[in-house]
Amino acid sequence: MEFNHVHKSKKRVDVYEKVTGRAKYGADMRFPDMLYAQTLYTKYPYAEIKNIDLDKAKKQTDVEAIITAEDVPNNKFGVIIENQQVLAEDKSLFIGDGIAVVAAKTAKAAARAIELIDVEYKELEGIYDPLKARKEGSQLIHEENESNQVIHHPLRKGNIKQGFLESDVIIKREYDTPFIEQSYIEPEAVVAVPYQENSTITVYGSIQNPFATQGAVASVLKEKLNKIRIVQNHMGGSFGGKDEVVSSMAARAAILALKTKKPVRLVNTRDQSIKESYKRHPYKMKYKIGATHDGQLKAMQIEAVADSGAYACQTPFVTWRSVVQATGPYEVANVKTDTYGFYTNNIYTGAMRGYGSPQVIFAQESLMDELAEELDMDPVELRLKNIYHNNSITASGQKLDSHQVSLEEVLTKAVEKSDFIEKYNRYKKEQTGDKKRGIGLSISFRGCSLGAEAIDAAGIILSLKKDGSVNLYSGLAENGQGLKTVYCQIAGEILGLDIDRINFMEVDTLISPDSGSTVASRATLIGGNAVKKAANNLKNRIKKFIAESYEQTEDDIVLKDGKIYGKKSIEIMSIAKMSSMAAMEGVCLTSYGWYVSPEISWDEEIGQGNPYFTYVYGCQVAEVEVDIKTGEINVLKMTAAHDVGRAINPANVKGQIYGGVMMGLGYGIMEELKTNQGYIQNTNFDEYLIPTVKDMPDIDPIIVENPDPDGPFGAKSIGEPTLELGAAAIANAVANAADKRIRSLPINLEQIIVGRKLSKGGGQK
Amino acid sequence: MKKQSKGVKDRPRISGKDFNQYKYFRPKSKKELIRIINGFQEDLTIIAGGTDLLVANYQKLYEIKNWLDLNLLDELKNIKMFDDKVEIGSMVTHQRLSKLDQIKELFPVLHQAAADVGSPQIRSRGTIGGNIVTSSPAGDLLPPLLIYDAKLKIISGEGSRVVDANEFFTGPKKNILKKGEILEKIIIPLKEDIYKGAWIKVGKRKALIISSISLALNLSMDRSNLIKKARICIGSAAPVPLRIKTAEQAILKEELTKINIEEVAQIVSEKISPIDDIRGTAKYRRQVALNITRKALSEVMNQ
Repeated sequence: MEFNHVHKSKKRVDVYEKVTGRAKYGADMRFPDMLYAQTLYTKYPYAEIKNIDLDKAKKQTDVEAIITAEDVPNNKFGVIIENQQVLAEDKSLFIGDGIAVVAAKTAKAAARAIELIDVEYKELEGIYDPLKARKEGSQLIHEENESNQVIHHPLRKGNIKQGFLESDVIIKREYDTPFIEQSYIEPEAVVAVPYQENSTITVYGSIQNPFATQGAVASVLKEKLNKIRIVQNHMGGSFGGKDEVVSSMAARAAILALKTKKPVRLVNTRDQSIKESYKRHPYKMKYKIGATHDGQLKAMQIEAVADSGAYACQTPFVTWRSVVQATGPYEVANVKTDTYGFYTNNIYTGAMRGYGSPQVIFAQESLMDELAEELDMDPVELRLKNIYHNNSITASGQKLDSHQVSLEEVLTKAVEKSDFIEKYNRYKKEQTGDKKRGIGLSISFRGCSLGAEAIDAAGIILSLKKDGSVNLYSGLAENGQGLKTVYCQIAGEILGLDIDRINFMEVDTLISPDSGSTVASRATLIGGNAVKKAANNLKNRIKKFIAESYEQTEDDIVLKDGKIYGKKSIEIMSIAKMSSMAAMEGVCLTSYGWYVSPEISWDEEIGQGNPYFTYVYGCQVAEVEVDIKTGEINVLKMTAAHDVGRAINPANVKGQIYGGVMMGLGYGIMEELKTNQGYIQNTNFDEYLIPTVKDMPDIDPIIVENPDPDGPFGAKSIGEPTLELGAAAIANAVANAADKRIRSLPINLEQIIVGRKLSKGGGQK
Repeated sequence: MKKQSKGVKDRPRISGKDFNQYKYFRPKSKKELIRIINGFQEDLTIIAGGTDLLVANYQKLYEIKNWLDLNLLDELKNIKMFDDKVEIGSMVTHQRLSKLDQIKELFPVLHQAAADVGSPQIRSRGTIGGNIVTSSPAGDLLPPLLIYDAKLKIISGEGSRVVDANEFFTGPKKNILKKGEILEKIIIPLKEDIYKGAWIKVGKRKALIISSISLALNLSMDRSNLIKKARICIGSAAPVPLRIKTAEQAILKEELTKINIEEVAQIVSEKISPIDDIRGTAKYRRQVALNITRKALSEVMNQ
């Protein structure tokens, strides 16, 4: 298939404003009489709030208003379970809970007022371990519940007992992963403006999901949705992180704005951001796997426990993705999986790129290598014996027959390109010197889009102007991933227009169709289909107009290079000229595209059904050098093969791979938010370490394309798949290099040097 | 005219307004500096490169009352070569130390350590004097200065004094400087000996990282190739950068190839007093101290 605009590495449509500094971010917004807000956070992770004395703070010059929980019309919000406090009411439940928010004429005055607020606390003994929270009879974090359990997702397939009976080798392993900060470069920022035009409140800012924030603000203010307007500014990254925390800030700023009748700006510092914003869930996982001597997987039993922290936030859905992906992309007849989330008084956890998959992939792909070693088989061979192919049945009983299952292809391509087999065997032998090399791999299948979490639909409005230029209104939002460019390319392809003729408008809940949240790597797949529909609707009207006016048949009409061609490919006129004529003839040049994804199903009782309508497949290979005397790990090279269906913008796909690999590397060897009794110990980037440019390995991206029948031009997903594999591949490479299996992330210097020397044994029948 | 950068108007920044009631001194000569120290009785916060101070006081710079900024003191930015010593002004940046060929030739360990500090931005702002006066046990230049027997010239209103760098540090972020004293320069003696040195910095990533542990080693050989003087110093594993004198003595007058590496490594590992912190556990540091001592000694043997 020949394309003119998609499948090409077009320059990003938002690049100019970003490199010149013209792009406005949340913290750049300025309005007349704008006030500066500051949040006072709790002093203790878990404490009763006995009294809040605002007198001294109120008397400070330039202080205009102070709010506490009392001023919040509806103090609890949440997308799934409404139990997140806008401000701590009777108790603070984690160290980032807000107590009060001050609005003042200057940031300095607000900061000083914060220090003058007297809060009387009664410190309480909290629960900081989800396994403790799980115990029957333990004190309740949310008193209205019967237990601290947020959610339990069971999955039952086949007969697990029988499966282990049929196994020759059974191994049991435990793995765990830490809290992870999304580490967007731009901390959270919102400005709430009261009574702008017909809206009660308009919130501008660094908002990942304008419609989720709209819902939260409306619910907190007890105001109608059509009175709450959210306008997204340019985003300095999000990675799943600017949802509930930003909604909470938007609600606080909105209350202050209504109270003072002035715009209120609330911008976090990095320390505030790390302390207040939700993290990726730490998991404690128990895996038991059984296989025959020749490497046939027979049974898998998995228990994964996620720390939800103080609130439910996204835990029910994050752990649901885990339950679907926990066995990995392997055909296993007998599976028993249980994933849980429990409340604790730790920082709450929510969405972060990966969304429940990086944890289980780390465990399950480490486990596959451990099993391979037990069976004295190479890791590629063991995987090839068990991976999904076309028509395979997944752990949830889904038959993979709607698309090309390309696991073998991605695995083979990455293995060959990285020279895996030769290196794996060479590195396995005794190596001289302190620096040992190793190579490791991991593979995954990943459900595209929301799946059974929610109805998956999105809308696009295209408005063709009289000069042949187009405004594009999307409900899904640019978060830095390149969505604007991809949508312009898809619209351009169908309308025969260069992408510089298409102007992607900022997401504004006033105009943009509510398309849910920009999450789950769904924007290209779901929103892209909506763009295609909107563009086709518009194109059909243009064709009809031309056919009627110029004695053409619609089938002959082609839109290309900004022109309209008819019979025998003769040029009729430019699209610009047509637009002006059509407008005069009263043709509607605004079109709507609404896409609803194919049907899915899920039985929550037994975890069976078709949770996603399509999947993507990936394989990453890590090559490392481990200094066994200092524990330093040098990741030399990452080879990343990903089936994206079709790359709408190959340069952008590579960008996603580079970024995802880098974040996976951080997850693998350095990132860790450390907590102690609910207190966060590393609240800035001097101590919360993320990789620097010097830590960046060579990255070899391999784009694999098997167009999906349900994707726009065959395109699927790439954002999250790139991140979920790295840590597991690195763990396997370290084991290959240093003969040391580390089952706890991050695999840092400490673990290499003083970590337990873990025995290979444990295989028994 | 310098344009004000966008979007940071509300961020507390250094401006004339902030100093109405307080003082911001920026002497241009040593004389002027002394006059300020003598004439001003209140507390002064001294700023050199600012890489620690500004970060530690981010968003509360207004809490610092009176400033003494050393950045216009060109006299403190000189590196002077003499036959028997090199003098490095306290305001010389890490960047300069890491780029100068003479430093590389004469004090390779110091040169390498300077190149390992932070990031290009930090190396461009941060100074050797700031590194010393901040007195973090993890200060990257401190072990190298100790192994080269550096001396520190301290000036004040009352005159000046010269102290051994090894006597300067008294605890984490603590030193012997008294109120009104300024570190003027670092004096490193030159000998005709053949030096053999090593620098090892271990950190959790490849750049922008505070050392988990570091080691500086310098051996000077006499004409018959026996070790005449030995210096081993460990950073980040004690309240101060720590010279391991027992280990140094153990290899004196030895032939380089005959050093008992194990013995030295054991001594080093025993003499340090590491703690558990975010950069590493005590257990890790003790084990790695052993390993990097072995490694450094093997390295110099092969030089």
